[in-house]
Amino acid sequence: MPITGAETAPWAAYLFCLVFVVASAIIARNLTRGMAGRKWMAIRDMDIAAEIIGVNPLKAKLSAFAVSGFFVGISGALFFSVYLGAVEVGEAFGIDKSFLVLFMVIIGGLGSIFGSFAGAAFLVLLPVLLKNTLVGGLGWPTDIAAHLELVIVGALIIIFLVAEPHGLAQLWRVAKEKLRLWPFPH
Amino acid sequence: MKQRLMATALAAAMVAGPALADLTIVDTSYRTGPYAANGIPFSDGYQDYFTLLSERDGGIGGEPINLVECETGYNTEKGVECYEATKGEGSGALVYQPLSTGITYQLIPKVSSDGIPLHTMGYGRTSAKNGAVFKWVFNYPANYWDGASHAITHILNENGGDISGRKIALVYHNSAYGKEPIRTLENLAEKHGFELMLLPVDHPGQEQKSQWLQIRREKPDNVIMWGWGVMNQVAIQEAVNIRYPMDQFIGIWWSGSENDVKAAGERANGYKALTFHNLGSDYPVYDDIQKHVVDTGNAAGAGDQIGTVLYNRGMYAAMLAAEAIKTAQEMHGVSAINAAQMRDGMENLEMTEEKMEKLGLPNFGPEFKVSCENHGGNGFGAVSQWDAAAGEFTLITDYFQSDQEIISRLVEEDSAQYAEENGIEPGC
Repeated sequence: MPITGAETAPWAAYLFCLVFVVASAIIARNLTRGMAGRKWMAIRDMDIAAEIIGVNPLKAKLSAFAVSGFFVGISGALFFSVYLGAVEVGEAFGIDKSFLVLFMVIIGGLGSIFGSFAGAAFLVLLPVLLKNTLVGGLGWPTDIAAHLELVIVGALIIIFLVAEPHGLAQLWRVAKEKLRLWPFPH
Repeated sequence: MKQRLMATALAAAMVAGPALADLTIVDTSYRTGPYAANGIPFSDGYQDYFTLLSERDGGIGGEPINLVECETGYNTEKGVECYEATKGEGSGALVYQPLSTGITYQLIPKVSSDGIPLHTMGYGRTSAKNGAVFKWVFNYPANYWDGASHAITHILNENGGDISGRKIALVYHNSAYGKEPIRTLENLAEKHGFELMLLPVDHPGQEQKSQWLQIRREKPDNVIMWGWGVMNQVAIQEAVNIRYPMDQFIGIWWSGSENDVKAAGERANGYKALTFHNLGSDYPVYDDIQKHVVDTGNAAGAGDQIGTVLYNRGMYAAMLAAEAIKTAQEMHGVSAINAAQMRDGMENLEMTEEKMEKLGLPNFGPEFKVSCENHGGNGFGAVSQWDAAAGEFTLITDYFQSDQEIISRLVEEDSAQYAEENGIEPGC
């Protein structure tokens, strides 16, 4: 059963990647709950305070860099070998790709593993939805739809950064809490 | 989350709605991003020609045309998504013309396994000329290695047949597209004894100061350019800024449209570009386009690109596709052809002067005949020059053939290597 190349069945490639995603997610979730993750969060929130309570900033920052490099490496390898099949360095891994990943994290919510997934799903599905409704459904010209997509994604990033820095993950958390108490919040 | 999924599903269902027309043509265009200035006229020409056939003749061979547009932004990933999303449209897409060498390289294995022909007119993978290996890929009437040879032949002719010791710079888009001619130029450099200087420009190409500083310092006798999109305008402006003699500056056919030179104004006068078809709007088919497409309000885009170099090229691409459809319909005796029959039509396509005259395009392109061994035409091209005062490109040479001796050897080597790597048994 091939998982790369033109003969690959979509479900095979999907399941292959899913294995890596699940494994990485479990590792990442446990990292954020453990000592290493708490050290990183302390450094992120206020590095001087973290240093005073005994976190070594050099170690924490270096390990954060190394661990994120590890995860990004896995995703980059999968992206190029399974999804694209070939790679043109300047194009497949251009600055746009880095920004896209950054926006996924911002919209999903900083400091949350679920948020990264929500943000990724949002930024992948939103353009598809927009394209399908505007071009396929309403019959708009493709260029207007493409430009509108840029406007909408850009506006969302600004709104999230201003109104809800903790992103989709926080919205989800709040919604869950509210629903648990609903309909008698007091 | 659930709601969003439902909305997506709903939208997907809405897309599947449109009428099931029979000849599905997908226009993978780019009207946004740094390559839009070149993508728009090509796509307008491509769509307008099919609109003309629908409005005037009611389709091709009595069969209506379903034209689907998909925006790629000249981005390989989006281009592949467009391909995957549209290949099953209607009764199946007949042919893809991605207008991007990067997308072409990604699609070659996909179309070969899906059985959909790919036509890369004047771009894409050059060794696809060898139809014995690349069964589903066509690149008639000319390819990049032809273009490289045309440029060198033109320089040879200008200099009395001797260019040994000359220094020739290649300014190229640092992608699959721009790297394509290097191998041929290296071989030609060996043969003719000139020195080749390589200057890559990274995507999207609006920053070229260092490359042109190097040209100013090393003073190459000629500059050849493989540029696209915003890179063209910037390169020509930079060449003007360093007062590089414009008549020694030759662009490939993708670096020679009005949108590329107009920004640099009067001083871009004399810039040369290759072409593999004729220029201008002095053809009977334009009267029909005016009458059936523009006057009825069906022109694609803003309708302001008609008669430009790239509009003509888009129209030429559409015309070749339509002729291949006609050939396929005759061969198989059915009007609603499928992708496999389309491939047969393309492989047996013959463009003659008589045929082009009947289409209202006399003398528009070279005559050629496609066969299983040769998917790439005969490699004829000409040189055009920008006349800033008149605001148009004009042909300054006749059509001449590329150095077939070198190119056919390279095509043979490269396609044999591809066949070996991918376990393809070459055969006609």
